[in-house]
Amino acid sequence: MSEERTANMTERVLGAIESSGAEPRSRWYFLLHEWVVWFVAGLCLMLGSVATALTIYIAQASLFIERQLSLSDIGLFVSLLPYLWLLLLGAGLIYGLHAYRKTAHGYRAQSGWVVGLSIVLSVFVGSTLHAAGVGATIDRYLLNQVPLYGPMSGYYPEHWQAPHEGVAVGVVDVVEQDHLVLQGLDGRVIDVVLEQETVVGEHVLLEPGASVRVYGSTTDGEVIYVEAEDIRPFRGRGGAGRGMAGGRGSGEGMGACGRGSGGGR
Amino acid sequence: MTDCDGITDEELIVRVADERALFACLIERYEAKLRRYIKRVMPGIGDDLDDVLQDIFVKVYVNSRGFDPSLRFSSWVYRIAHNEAVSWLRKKKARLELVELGDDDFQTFVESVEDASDETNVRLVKDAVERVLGEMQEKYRTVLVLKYLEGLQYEEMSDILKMPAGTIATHLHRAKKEFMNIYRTHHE
Repeated sequence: MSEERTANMTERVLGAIESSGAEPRSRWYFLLHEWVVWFVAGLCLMLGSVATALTIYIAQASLFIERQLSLSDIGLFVSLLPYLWLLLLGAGLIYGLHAYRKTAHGYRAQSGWVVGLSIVLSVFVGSTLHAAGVGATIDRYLLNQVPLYGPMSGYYPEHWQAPHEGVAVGVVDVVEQDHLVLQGLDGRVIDVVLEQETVVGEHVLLEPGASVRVYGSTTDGEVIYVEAEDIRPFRGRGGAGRGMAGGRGSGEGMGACGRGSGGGR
Repeated sequence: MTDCDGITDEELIVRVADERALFACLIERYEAKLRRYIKRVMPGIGDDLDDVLQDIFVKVYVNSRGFDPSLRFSSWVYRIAHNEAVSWLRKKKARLELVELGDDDFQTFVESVEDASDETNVRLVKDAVERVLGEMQEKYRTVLVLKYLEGLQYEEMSDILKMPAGTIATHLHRAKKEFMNIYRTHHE
């Protein structure tokens, strides 16, 4: 009975194959499928890495606001988070995991390991991209070209624009040995006095056109003088975070090595 | 009848694309196993079983060049069978029915599931087990069937269900729990 049933099934299957003209799929079909899945997984990893580079860059470009704020200003901190990039980082991880699971042996690894490894790789590649200035370049391009990008990535320049409290942001107009002239975002001219102790962030290239943030003390008057303690790059147009100190050193520019440089406090 | 004695399943599936007649050997070797497995995992399948089996074998043939030589052929064919059965279940939204167990299968099963072996009336327990399996969630029923009725190892189950072995172990633990919960519900 059982043999008879098997014979029937064999005939039935071979008959169905014959009548439908079914043929084995080419080996290339399976190879291509595997490559596509790996390509998508790689793309997701790249997306996660770029998002990490942007997150690091934006986080660094937001440093030293802590001196202005008390811990009760949680709302401001929250508004400064680069949601867009954090979301893209999450999407990269989730879709990357999903794509990896579709590879030939991707199902064997525990999700925790895959996610952990993706995070480590994203941070490693993202840090490298950040160090190469990729984060700054993309951020500057998007700020200039995409109107909604600013609020979605925590770009609120008004938080930094309080020259009478010693916090100023603007585009460098003139660079001299002991002072800078900034064009404030609201059009005001800000004279920044550079002291021997002034710390110039390591990614800041002081040259006309660069966007910078300055922290220091100030005096009231027609012209605002800020005695700078700390100068950092600022997001947006100009040279914020463009290259490394000394990378584009020129006659009119002044790199970080001219004064007390470093990562600040 | 095609002579394929001494040829392993893995060798056969590699040759099937160029020698279709050899496919008959694989059908002969696996029809009974797959028939039993599908009936256990999808107890409501009834008259559709032959159609599902035919679809499974046609898929095996069409995808024969995609066989991953790092797997056992049995794991690969069970994976296709499982996917086909799940897709049938989704399509039909099958009603619950009893899972058929042979006496030997049942003995293995009750020894493997804690507490059930304490029962004195084996016939009653067997009926209850069949009913309980039929009421379980498909994913939990599947791991119990693969582990205790098909007698597979975690690694093979991982290859069939495309899940990490750790997740299989978790599912198995939950499956036993669910089994016992449903079983107790019927006997309180």
